[in-house]
Amino acid sequence: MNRAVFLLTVLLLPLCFASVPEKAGDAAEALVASVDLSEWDDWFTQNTEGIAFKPSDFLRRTVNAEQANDPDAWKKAALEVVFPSLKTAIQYGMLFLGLAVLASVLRGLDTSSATAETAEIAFRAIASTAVLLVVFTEIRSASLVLKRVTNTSEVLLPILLGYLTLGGMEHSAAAIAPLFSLLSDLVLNVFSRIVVPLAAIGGVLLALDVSGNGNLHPIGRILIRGAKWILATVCSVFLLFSVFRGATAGSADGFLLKTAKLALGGIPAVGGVVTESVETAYQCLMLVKNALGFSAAALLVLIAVKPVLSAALMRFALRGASALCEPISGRPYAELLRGLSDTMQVIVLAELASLAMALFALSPVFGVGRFS
Amino acid sequence: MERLLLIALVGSVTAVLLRAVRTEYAVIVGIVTAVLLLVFGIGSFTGIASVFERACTEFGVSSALPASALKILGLAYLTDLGVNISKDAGQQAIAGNLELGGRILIVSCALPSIVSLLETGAGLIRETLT
Amino acid sequence: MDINLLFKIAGIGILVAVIVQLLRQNGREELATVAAVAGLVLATMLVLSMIVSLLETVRRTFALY
Repeated sequence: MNRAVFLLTVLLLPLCFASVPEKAGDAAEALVASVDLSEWDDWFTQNTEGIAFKPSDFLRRTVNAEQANDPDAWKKAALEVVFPSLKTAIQYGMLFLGLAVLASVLRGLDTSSATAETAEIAFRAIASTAVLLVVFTEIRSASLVLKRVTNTSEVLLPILLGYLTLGGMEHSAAAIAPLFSLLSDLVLNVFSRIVVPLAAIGGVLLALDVSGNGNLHPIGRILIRGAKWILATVCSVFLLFSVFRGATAGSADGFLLKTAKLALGGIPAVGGVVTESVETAYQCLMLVKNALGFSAAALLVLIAVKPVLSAALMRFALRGASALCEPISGRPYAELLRGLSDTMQVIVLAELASLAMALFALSPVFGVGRFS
Repeated sequence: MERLLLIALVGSVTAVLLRAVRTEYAVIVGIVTAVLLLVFGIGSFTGIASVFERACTEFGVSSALPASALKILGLAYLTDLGVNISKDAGQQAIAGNLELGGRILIVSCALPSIVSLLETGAGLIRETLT
Repeated sequence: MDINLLFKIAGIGILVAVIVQLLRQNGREELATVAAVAGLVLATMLVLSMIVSLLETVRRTFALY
């Protein structure tokens, strides 16, 4: 409460003695200048390759409500991210289908002869190894994404919390911090230690079923289904926890700030002008806070977007290849691809869920709730 | 495709004719027909094989894998060829022995791949758990 | 090369059959056998070069060594 009054007073004095600012943007610029996002810039360039985005630029532009210098910036960025992933997905498809066609060549032999059986088993071992190796590169990058989301939250948190407490929004700060710690301690640990390994082991078991009898299939499928279930449970827990903790943060802070405004406006000597400036100062505060929240969200999303996209595309490639190759290369191979596409589905869901939960934990900073 | 069909039909009829006259020539005609058909089949195969190989090297899968896959296919086809020709010539014993030899060769070719599959699986599981 | 080889072998086969029949009718059994074997060797040599080229192609395509 005292801090809010102090800050508003600090903003108030220059506004009293200078001319009334033309737009809230001037005061907001001053505020933005005081927020140092170079740490975020460094973190972003460390963790992504080639996406043209600087958090501090973004913050400044959002606060000034400028158009981006290049109106096609988002289009270009989207093309930069999407096209390489599409190319990779098409090559994945070619790999899987190539294997399927080779397998179909084998079926051209007299399928009841002993030679054909042996050759099929041998070929299936090779096909499974190749497909496993390719799928696991994606799984590795997914574990990396989960780690990155954790670390990004840690980098984002100090500046955000600092700004919120400085601005007197202690309740929001108090609401965000435990959410983030729950996210990084419980959720991301469970994801990387339990969910992803379960799905991976399920996939490996499916691939090990070389004899084509389908003996290992039930175990593999149960593992993958279990991974999905754990994922859903953890998401629900997080949601419950956040709703429980953060529900009243917005209104509590709004109440605090309104009280501060009224208290200031009640100073008789500079009655009307003060209220005007106080309102302006308050609006800048909110503006910069929201812009900060948006920058943080954009940072998170852009760090995670490429791996998530390529994992999702691989899943579609696997699924499509499995459907296409059922008539030409027989059941076992199609089942293998199908099972691995389920594994990739769990992985994609885990990545998306962690991203969504991080964004959700950030939501008080966007001004999603009514503050004033 | 028409050429293949033509060769197969002409070969079958000729073989039947020669069987009535002198049996050994029927066997030789059978061999020639089968070999001709196989040669035409292999020609169109190299395209697929190269696509697969390129995709493999693109993703860093070691090139030993597509090589073994092709070897297994080749062995399977050659064994099948020999077995069928022998059976047509009425030599069941030779066909059986050739089949046995072929299977042993295929398995010995595939064994390193099966071992590498198990190793890859175990390594990947270990990696996700740490 | 392709179908003509088939016809060549068929031709050799029929020729040999006729020759063997003739020799048998004239009572020269050994000569008949010799002619039959010679015909067979000739046909096999014709086929051999083709089989070698097939095996060469197979070896190259499948990298069998």
